Amino acid sequence: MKREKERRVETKNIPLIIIIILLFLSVLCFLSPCPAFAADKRSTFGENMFTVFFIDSREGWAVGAGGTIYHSLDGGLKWEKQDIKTQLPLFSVSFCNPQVGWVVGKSGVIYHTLNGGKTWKEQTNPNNKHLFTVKAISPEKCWAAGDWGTIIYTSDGGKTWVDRSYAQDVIFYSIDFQGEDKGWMAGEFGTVLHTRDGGRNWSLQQTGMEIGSEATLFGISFASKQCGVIVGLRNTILRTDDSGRTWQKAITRAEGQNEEIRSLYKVKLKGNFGVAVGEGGRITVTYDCGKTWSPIPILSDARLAWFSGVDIPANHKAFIIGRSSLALISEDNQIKMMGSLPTLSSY
Amino acid sequence: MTSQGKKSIWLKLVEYHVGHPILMLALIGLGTAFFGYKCSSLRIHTDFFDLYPPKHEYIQLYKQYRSMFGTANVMTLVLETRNGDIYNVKTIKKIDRITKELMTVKGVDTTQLVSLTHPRVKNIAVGYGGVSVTPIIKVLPETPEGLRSLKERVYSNEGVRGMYVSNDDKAALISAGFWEEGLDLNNLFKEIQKIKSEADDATHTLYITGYPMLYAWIAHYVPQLYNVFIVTAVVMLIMLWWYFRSFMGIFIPMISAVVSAVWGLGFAATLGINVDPLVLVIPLLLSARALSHSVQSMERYHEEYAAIGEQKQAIINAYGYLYKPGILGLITDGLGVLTIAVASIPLMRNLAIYGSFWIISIYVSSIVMHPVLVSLLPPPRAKHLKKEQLAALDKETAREKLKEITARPGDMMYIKMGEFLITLTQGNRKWVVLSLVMLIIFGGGYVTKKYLKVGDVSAGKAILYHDHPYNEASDLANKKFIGSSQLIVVAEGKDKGAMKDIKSLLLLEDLKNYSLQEIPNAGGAVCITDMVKALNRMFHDGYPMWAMLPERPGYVGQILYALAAGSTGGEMDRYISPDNKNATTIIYFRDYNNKIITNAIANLKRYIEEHPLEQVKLHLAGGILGILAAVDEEVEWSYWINMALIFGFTFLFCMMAYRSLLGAMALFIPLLVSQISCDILMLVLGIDLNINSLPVASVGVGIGVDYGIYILSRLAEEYQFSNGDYRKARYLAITTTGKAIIFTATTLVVSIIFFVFASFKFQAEMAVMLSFLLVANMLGALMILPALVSIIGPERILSKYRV
Repeated sequence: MKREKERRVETKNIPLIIIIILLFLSVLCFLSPCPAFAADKRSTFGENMFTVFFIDSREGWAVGAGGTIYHSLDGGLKWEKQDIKTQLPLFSVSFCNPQVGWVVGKSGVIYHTLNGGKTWKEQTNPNNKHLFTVKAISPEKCWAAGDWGTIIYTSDGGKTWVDRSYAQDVIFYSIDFQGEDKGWMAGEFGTVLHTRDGGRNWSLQQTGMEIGSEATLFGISFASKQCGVIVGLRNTILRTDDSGRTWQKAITRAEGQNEEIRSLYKVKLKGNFGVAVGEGGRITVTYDCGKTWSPIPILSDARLAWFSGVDIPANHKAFIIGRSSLALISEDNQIKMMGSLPTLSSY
Repeated sequence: MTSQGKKSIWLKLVEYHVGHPILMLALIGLGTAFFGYKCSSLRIHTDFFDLYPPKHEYIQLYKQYRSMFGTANVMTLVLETRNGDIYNVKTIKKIDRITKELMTVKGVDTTQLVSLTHPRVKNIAVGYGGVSVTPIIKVLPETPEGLRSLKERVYSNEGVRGMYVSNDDKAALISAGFWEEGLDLNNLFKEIQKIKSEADDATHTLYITGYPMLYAWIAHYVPQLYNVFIVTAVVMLIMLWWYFRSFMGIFIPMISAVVSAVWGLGFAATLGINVDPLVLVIPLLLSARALSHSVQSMERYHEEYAAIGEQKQAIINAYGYLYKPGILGLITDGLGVLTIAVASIPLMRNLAIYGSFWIISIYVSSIVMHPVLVSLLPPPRAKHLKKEQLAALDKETAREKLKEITARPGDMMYIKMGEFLITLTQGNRKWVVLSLVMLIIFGGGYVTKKYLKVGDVSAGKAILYHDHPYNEASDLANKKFIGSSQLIVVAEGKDKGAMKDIKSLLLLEDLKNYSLQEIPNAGGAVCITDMVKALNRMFHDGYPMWAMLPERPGYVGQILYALAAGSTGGEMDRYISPDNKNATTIIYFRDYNNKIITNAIANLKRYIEEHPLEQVKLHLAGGILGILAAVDEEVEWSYWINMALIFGFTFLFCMMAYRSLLGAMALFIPLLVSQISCDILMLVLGIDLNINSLPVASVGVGIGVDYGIYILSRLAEEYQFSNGDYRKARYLAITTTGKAIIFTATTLVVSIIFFVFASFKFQAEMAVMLSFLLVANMLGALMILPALVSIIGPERILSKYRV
């Protein structure tokens, strides 16, 4: 009887104990950041973002203005900021496996990680010109290029970078490789360089553009050793089926008055699927490895933005980033806005 | 008469005044005619430069650079459409028409006129012909395709959305600067209202805000204030009649108030001082002084006449008794008002000059003119005792008899109130009063010192009501755009071309980013670095990664040259000087109050201190918030100095007059209590302690001085007369002089209450504050002062006063 009474008293006190525990926990949460909410995970960024790179369908990195680098483990739904200790804008990121990668940026800054971005270490660049593109081939080999014809290369994981700069004052904006040997580089004045020997020799490829009106080429991507696409100034889209020996103009369907003069800044091919993004919120897709391109209508307000980064983490799913943190996921032409539209907080 | 039997100088003076009525009235008449003539040229309007403390570094900076970076007086017009967005022919045409009409408004700085349709808003683009910097609208679009193209240009150019087009596309902002000099606010109001009436229709509303519009509204309401003044005067007349029930009772106080007003305002006009509409409440306070002196004199004259029944002697006795407290009150009041001049703000200095002269003129209108006028008018109709009757009565009976025969129908209420106040301080209740006094001084003093802040407490709503069209416009502009109030940091280069250095541009940009991160309420910021980066990007085929400062030597110079070439003269001046020596970082605020401004200034000062750069020096602070910061800083320090001086003078003069340190303390403490109580009231009601309310608070102290001096003098008189019977002295002082104080205070409260119906929130608040001050000072004089005298010891305070 006495025990039962005691038990009843104990049972009666349970809600009170729970309330006290909850109150105690909430006080703890107020006093110090509550562990469950403390992590800096977000569905949007806070800065202009330039390049996004996914190593697989889930894990990716994005870099941008003010020395920002974000990391995602869920295909781009949530992003966590990584510490890289620079304020300089970072223009490009590339990983050869989930652990080893490089980022490059303004004034030739290079950072390297061996642990998926948990820690980043600055590497010495023989040349302090802006680097706009980087391509990690293997844990040892990596290429980067940029302003003033800068091309640099490492074969020892970045301990030493060798200057392989182009003789002409050309700005290189994009590099892509298929395997360790075959690579392409695109840049100013319609310049396309190609190597078949892992970069020992680079040769100029003819793009077929009229002499004197060669457009600047901003993005290059190869789906295979044969099929590739280049995008650039004023809606330029060139494609090749023969590793770049010949380049043809792709068939594009422009929408709107200024579409034909809007530049495309980045392209990514994966199989026959490809996405190109650019000025004025332009997004255009291909399902035949670049032969024909169709624009994707997006929210008209997104015309405020430019998109400069695209990657395809999974089949027919693209992740796009750009101005003022705007991030989009395009899956079978269905656009999902990741962050709210940027509002002008500064000019 | 002095105790030695010799005539005091005061009695001699009154005798002289009364003995030479023609001379006195002629001199006063001449003075009044002169100042009356001058009054015709009195200007009641706001001069913006009168609001700025000229020696403050922010104002000096503003004056130095305003011809380049533009005026801080910026009007913001927001055209809102209720149907769809602004990208339709009708709305774009409306924006264009408003912009063009603003160009013709008198006083507008056309180089500071910006809107979506103005060529100053640029489209920076890269095309087949290279980089171009052109107006975002070359020709007004008439077709759907043209409107779509415009929308794309708005979207693709930095600095258009959020600044000139709202983020929801439903409103467009037109910004226009107005030079301070010679701005005709009444004309501005008319012209802007005309533009508004043309712009408003079933689907569009034009909202107008910004400092020029605020002061245009104030100018618009001035005639309404005159009406309130008339109502106030009529109510005062009725109250005077109700109290004195005689022509003389109305005529004498009113003529005194009018003469001193003519002298005060005429003096202002003679010196070329304009009266700001927002301090128009001060004349009311000054008139209250004149009225107070008059009523005291009239009351005493009636008493003396009843006692002796001989007009001339009654006049000499009454005015002789009151000469000393009257002069003492006026000197302390005058000096008190003059101390407002410690603030270097011209508006306050001017107010101090004509305000103190006004008070001096009360000497002429009340102390000199009063006995003269009274001597020329028939004696009061009230009964009086004959000399032989008076001689036959003992003092007690004579007092009672006098009280009885001088009583008027309106007296009883005030006597009852006085008696009630006496009961509140009698016996041990005086200790309760002392406890309350201590609580208010220490507790209230601590609270007000800690929490009472200078400047606009409620963001931008200190003067007009919350739902006033001006405030609604401000709210809309701040909600839809990056902010309508600017704070400008000037970067002054050591040499020409200093801004071509990347370090200078980086400093400006870093300051901009710092402001956006660290300063609450900073809605946006802009500096030349943004434009250099935008153009650098365009020089590199529009590639986003190139939106950075160029590192190639000479590139910045080329870009700045291109920017200048793409603009017409003066367009870029707000951001960079033509010689590239100086530049700005402009921070836009959605809202502001004292805390926000102080915090912003403190943050920016810290930043400047921590980021020195050899070739560039950063200076605070331009823009309207820079000016307000300067005014707030000036008002804040001057308020405390002002108060210290007023109280110091009062203490000193009262100590001299009553020959008692304790007497001065007894006078000083009620003043302190009413001042702290007034500060508490301001805190509770959210009344801002700003450039307009500070003088009211300062001048308000003088009312307390008057009341206190009159009651203490009468207490001393009655105390000595009754051979040290303080209870009797207190009773008589409060039911005679105190009665007149109660009447003056209540009459003024009843009269100024009509200000509550003014369209100005500020005037209504001041009416509440003044009413409170009058009542607090009345209670201070009639409750606290007698209680303190009782506690300290009447003998110590009252016996040395020479009656």
